[in-house]
Amino acid sequence: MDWLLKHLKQQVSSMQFLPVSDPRSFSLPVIAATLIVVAILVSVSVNWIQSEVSIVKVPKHISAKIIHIDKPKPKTVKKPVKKKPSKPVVKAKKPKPKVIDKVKKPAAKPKLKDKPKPIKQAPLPLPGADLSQALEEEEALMNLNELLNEEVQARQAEKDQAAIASHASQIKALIQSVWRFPPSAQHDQVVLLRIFMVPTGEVTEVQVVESSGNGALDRSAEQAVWKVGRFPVPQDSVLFEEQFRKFLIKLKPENARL
Amino acid sequence: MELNKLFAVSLLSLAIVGCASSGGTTDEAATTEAAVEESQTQGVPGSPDLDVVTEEQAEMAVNSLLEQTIVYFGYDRSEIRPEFKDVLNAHAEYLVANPMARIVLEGHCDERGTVEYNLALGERRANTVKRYLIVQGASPSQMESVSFGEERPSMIGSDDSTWSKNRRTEIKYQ
Amino acid sequence: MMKRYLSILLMSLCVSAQAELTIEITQGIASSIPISVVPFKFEGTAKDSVDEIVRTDLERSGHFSLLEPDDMLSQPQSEDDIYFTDWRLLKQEYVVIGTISALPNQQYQVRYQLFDVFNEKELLTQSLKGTASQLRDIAHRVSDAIYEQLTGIRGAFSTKIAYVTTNSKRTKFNLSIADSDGAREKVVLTSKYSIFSPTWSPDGKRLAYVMLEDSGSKVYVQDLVTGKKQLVSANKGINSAPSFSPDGKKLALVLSKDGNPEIYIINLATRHWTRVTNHYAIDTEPNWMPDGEHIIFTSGRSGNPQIYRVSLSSGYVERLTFEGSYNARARLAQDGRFLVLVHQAKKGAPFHIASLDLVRGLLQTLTSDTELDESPSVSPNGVMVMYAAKYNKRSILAAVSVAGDVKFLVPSKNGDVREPAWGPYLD
Repeated sequence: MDWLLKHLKQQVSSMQFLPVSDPRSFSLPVIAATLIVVAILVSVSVNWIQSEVSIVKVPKHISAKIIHIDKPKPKTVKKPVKKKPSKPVVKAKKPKPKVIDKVKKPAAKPKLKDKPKPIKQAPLPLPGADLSQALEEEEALMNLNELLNEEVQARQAEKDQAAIASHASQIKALIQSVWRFPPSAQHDQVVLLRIFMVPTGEVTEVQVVESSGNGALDRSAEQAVWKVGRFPVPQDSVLFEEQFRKFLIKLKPENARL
Repeated sequence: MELNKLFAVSLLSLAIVGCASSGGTTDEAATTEAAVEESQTQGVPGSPDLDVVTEEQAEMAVNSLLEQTIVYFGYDRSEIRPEFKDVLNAHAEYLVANPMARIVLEGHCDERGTVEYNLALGERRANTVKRYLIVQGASPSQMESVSFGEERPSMIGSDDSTWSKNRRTEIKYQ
Repeated sequence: MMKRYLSILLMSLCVSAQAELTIEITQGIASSIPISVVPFKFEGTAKDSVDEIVRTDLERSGHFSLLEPDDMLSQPQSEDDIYFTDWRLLKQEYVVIGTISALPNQQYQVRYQLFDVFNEKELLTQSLKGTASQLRDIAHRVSDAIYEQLTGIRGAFSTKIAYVTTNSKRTKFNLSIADSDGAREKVVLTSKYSIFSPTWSPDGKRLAYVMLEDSGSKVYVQDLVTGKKQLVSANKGINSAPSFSPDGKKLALVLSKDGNPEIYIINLATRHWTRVTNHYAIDTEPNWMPDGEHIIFTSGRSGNPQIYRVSLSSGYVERLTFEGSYNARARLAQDGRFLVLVHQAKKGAPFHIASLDLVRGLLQTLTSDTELDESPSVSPNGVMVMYAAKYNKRSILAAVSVAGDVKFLVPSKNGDVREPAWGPYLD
């Protein structure tokens, strides 16, 4: 972050007297915007950053997680510990998938090689070996955690999509059952409305975002929404906020005569 | 002798009746009638039975044909139907024999379809009669054709038989 | 390098932020707009009821459904008397109230207001003045204003129609002009000869028509102001189907002088002829397109009558109708997006008025109650079609909206009424 601030200061000082047409004059606003974005990113992706930091704090967090994760797994991972005291450090800097791969691959090889040396490994609890071993274990657990989290998130996303689709089709059915368009409506005219709802599903505002060019048709679209008045909303409040607090409805009278 | 006369007259009258009634029939019936007619009329000139037809009777026959001045058409059609050929032949012969005679051919339609298209169709009906008469020897200068479309029906009504009576070309001697 | 990375990041976030849920609705029910025209407060003894005329006009347009005064819960005559909840209860979307007051010099003042029931606000108000005999014109202007306000389309209630009436024996013919609702008929020409194909000049000041004399059909142009008529075409054979060009200077005609019916154009000033079609089949019923560059016509060249379009500059002929055994007398509607024409689905079927969507290629029958429908003529706003139909053995005029819903009969006295021609806007 420091180098970024330095860079920013440099930019500010050097860019003050540039004309607007100079593309470099955009860099300050762009950087300011990206800072804001990065700030948002940072606040949202706490886990990611924490995973960098957590290597030091690992014992506290991972001990809690060990309870939920399968115990036998750490055993298979313990074997390659001897060969990679330096690797955990290297691995921590690289993105997650690579770390996981590297953990998995070496696990295959040392199994064959380590077998003849179990006596030497087990009774020598060297402090360095312990720490790296513990770190390895914890990291592996973390990775598994992440995998599980991803799966959970993916399933959640699917559920969300299904919920959105289901509510969207209910809204569509409700409006189609009450929409009465004027005889002057032409089959290729389109009106775009923005709907504002509260969590109970009540419509609070309807805006014409794009007129069809046919005022009577626009009005009929608005009236259809008000006639329904209240739409079914998903129970998940996060989903509601994201998708249904405000959304768009596009109306096109394809079955019009004209 | 009398029997022969009777035979000749009855044949002729059958032929004439056949001509007159064919206007009200459909195309299908007309063709069968025409076929029947053909065989009947063919009997007249070459039949040995009619050697004794008098000039008077022949003239009567021709006059009967000439008295028929309306030719009828099928729906949306303008070609001459076989049952009217004798009538038209008689008129053609008359025109050839009387170079000073003048006729106007009036084409008409029934009320179905648009006024303007029917005006054009009426003209076709008048013109096909005109062309036929020319082919039979009459001079173009003796004939004028005019179309009245659906505007001057011979009968008022909206049924098949009325309509069939309105689809016609009339020959009017001036 | 980092800058680029960040800006890409920035852009991708923007994109994801705009992915607003959009639900698409593609079906509804076509329905006319419910409106109430409350009987106007009236002081005086004028004959024509202004609000009655407005109700009839709006109902006939096919865009509105009018509440009968008897079904109104109240009949307010001023804004303060309007209880919008009452009107919402009656499911009305708009309400019109008005007053007619007598002025000195035998004049009347008509004032009206149009209200939006849902939003409870006034949309339009106007004040018009005129004599008792002008009340009908005022009423039609009120209808025009309300119609345009609520549909965005210019009203055609103040236009005229021309038509021919005849007795059953066909011995007398009258060419007449009336209001588009059939009122105030005025005979323009009387003849023992059949008159047909009347057509208006674009400025509404002349009528061209065909008169079928004993010697054949002839085309005339009559000045409606002076009443003077001028013979325009009397060639050998057919002279018929006149149609004015959009600039009013030329007339498209059908002549058979060169052997069979073809389309020609005559310049009315110079009397110079131009031939347009050249085919042994019947070519007739020309109708100019607004661009002045194309003519729509009927031709039998494919075996039975169909509609074609010819380019006047290139001579290229294009067929437009492919459905049905008979398609004739096409006229443009809906700003040139549609044709209305006489259509027979197959041989032996009835003749109806149909609309052809030139964009989608869809043909839809507009009439069904009568069987010998002909001579469709379109209102200048392209919304309504007037035509002649056989009804109870008489020929009467009827009108239908191009959207195909509302139909009404134009009341006529006696005899057969045919050949309607809807006049242009009279600015």
